Amino acid sequence: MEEQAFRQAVEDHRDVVFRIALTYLRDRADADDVAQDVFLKLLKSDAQFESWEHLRRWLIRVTINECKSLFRKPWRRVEDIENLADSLSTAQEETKAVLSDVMRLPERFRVPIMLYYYLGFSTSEIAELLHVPAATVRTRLARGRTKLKFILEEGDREIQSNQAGLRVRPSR
Amino acid sequence: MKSNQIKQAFESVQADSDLADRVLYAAAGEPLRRKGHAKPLYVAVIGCLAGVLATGGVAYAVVNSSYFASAWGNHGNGDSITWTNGGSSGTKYTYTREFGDGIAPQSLEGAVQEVNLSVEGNGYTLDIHEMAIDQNGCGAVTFTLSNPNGVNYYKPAAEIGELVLYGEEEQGIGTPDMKFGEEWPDTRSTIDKDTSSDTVINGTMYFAAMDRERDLQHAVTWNIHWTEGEGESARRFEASTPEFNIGAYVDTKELRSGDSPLEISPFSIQTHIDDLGYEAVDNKLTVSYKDGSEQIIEDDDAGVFNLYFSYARNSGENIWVPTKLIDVDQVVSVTLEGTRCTSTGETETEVPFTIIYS
Repeated sequence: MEEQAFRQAVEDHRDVVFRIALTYLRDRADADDVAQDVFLKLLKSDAQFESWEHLRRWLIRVTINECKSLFRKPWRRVEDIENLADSLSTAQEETKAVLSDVMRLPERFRVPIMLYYYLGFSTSEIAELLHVPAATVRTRLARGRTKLKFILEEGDREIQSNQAGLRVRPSR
Repeated sequence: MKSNQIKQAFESVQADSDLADRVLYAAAGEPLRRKGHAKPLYVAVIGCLAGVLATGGVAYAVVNSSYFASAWGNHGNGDSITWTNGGSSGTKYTYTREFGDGIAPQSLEGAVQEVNLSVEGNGYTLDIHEMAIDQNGCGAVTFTLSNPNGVNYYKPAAEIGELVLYGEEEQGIGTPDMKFGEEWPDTRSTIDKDTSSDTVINGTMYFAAMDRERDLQHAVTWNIHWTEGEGESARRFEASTPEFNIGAYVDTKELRSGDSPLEISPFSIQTHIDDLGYEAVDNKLTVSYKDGSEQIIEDDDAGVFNLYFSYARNSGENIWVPTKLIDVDQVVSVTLEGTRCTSTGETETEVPFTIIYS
């Protein structure tokens, strides 16, 4: 890929790549590394992209794979959700709170929510990206929404924290 | 919560603006500036084939029990290891990993291939000894990594048996890796505690091809990479062994559950994503033998992880590489358990599932 086209691709898509990585990894530094790796793969790739959207979807697919790979490392440190939002954003407190609450969800809920509400993918498209049945995506979206509503309205953060799957699995 | 609140929350997060520069610098030969904890990625467009030492290269099969003792034994960890991860909420999770005895079943006679290839760089020598690979594209290769000035590795990972090195550090190299042609398999390396020292690391690299149809068409190389110089003058190098042509693949055996196939070998188990989905809806995998015994590969609820790794390929295959060899001839069935979410209108339930492949 030519440098000018590469720079334009990074400019257009770096935030999306970084936000997906962050949603998976819940760690800014790791997400930044994944973004580097993804764009290195783009630079090295001989793939022919038919459109801006084709490139975007390729990057999203590669990002998801990179995140899954890193997520498996047994020595990857546990994320500190409490400090995550503060390290990320200069946004208003309310926005930070929403981000924290989404990040507090288990991976199987927060990733579909991110792909659906932020990136605007359909449940069928999310199913294809995550290799899960579309019905499962719809269920996870519904359950994720329920959990978010519970967090915001009931304010019972400790219960959610315990449910949030903060352990790091040694594989997959 | 309104959906636009979620959108706004994500839009408040931005990647660093120097990302393109960092990637282009790396492609031009400078080291990646890493911030996190991931294993460094190769920069394949750079490098020099430095100091390659070839002492072999033609594959042939031999009976070799020392390979199995090294690659499929306990690596000096005892029968098992236990470690704990703590969450920020204070919740602790304990994991155990049991190891094999390094004794190979009769079916593996002739499975081991002598490699005997080496590569040098930055004061390090990587000697590749022997490997075995199955038709799932999975297996293990034994190696020795040495440096008379000391091998710089990541101690916390080594405590639970994994070998991780950092190429960015002075006098360091990245964790050795492997390629099928130009494609990287997923790899994980272990350190043999009993036989390793500050200057000589004996270990095993476990691998699983990302795409077995594609990758197994190619010869294999093993690679090291490192950084020389500091700051703006820092340059990244890599070196590779000569190519190794795989001579034989250990057979897999197909088990079925209705229309769903499972392919099992002594080194791996492969299921298909259509049956399950990628994410962690599965939480237990058990091999049952004719004598009534069981080999638990993974049990999330119990914190049992008797595997080196597992992952899902893009093609939709799930792979597990266990810590203990599987005696395929004695296997009666493999049981996969987990939960699925189901939705009927507004009602959602989690339903346990059990798939028995036999």
